[in-house]
Amino acid sequence: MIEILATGALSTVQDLGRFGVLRYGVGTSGAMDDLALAIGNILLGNDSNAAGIEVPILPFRVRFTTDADFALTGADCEATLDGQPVPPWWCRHARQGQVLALGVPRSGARAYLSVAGGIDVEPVLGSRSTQMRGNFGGFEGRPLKKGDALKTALRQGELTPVSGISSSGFGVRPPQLGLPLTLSGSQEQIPVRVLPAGEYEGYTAQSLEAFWQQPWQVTPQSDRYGYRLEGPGLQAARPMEMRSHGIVPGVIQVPHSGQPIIQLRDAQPSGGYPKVGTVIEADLWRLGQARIGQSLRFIRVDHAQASAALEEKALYLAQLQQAVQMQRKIWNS
Amino acid sequence: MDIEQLQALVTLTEQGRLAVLELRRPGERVRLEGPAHLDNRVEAALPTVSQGDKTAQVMAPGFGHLVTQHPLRSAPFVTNGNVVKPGDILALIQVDELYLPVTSQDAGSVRSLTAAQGLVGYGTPLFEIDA
Repeated sequence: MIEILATGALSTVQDLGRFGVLRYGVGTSGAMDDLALAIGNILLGNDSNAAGIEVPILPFRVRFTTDADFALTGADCEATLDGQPVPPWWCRHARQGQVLALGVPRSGARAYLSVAGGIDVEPVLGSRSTQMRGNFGGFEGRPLKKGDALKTALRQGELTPVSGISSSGFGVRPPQLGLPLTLSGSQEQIPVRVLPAGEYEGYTAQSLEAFWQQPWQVTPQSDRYGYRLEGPGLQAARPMEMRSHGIVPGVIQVPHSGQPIIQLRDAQPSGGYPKVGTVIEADLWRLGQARIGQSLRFIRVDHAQASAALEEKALYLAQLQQAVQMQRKIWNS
Repeated sequence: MDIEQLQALVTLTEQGRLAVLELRRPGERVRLEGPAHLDNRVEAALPTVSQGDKTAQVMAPGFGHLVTQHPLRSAPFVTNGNVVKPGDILALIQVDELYLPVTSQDAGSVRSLTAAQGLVGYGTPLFEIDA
């Protein structure tokens, strides 16, 4: 069990998402940085879809009310366990009573706390993610607050959710190094790969050139629902009127202002704005770590490249899992 | 790789009583795992070696790349003269995508024994801790 001692307003329980229910008008939810959550679960030997806590606003403090292994992934936020530093992208053992504190992130936007076995909340519509629009799923359908006590799930065949990590633990190289995506001359900008979407052809050539060549700043009106961007502005060649249609996380809509919105995990599943592009599924995690004020750059890809990127990500996770399992075998033998 | 080469590797793994042997070449990756019952491997947790009363050595816990500064950080884990506590992480050993910690068992002032980052072997002395 863990007890929340301090939290910002928007810490939520998330797994990889609630899939297959868009048809009922229920969005996917799920971790904004799905790669960080997946790596936390790999480090702990958890089920790949076990739920963790997404922490977007720091500081954040929890007390372990039982012995447990935990993993910290995502944003690097100078974590300490009873005052001893815990490196980013790390897992280790916590003893009963120890306090884990996360500070202000040096880089990235969201930290993920995973525990051995996963956060034990009842799945709703097949997922443990918090559905913020419907106030269901996750922990009582709401963000966490001080005093909340979260149960950790027992793993099959084990009495306690402890995996036998040594007290100092181990970690992984940050995935931005293992799955690099760079754009020359844009150290501060976050590149993401984008597929042209349905109404792409409806924009002027000048607008489309700006779309691919200019940076797009993440404005303060950005959260789990979507990121409002600020940039040169996109002009349609002629007015486009559309009926509402289904959308998915990653879709880049263009309202009349010409300033795009990237719909994200808590977006509603339908919308009526024209769509100029879609951030590919394999790069949604990069968006999840974009901070307000940072700029994005869009790299054009085709469907084959988008699915190759998804395969590359899956292979990276599979190899990581194999390496972690091997290491565990060595320790436990 | 043909069957004879593979057999040679199996022999090497057995004779060396290795837990794992991994060979990588372009387009090829072979991993052999020794029998699980082999229990005469070197102790995984390396003890620090005391040299006299005051100085302890911290050695590499395994073979891999020494990483003295986390890539997300702007400063190394420790610099010469830092005072460390038991359990503090002094550096990392990178194996594939994994980072294994090099930790101090002792309290005291730390001194680095290696200048360069790079490959280190099991048991390579990395730090000295002066109590």
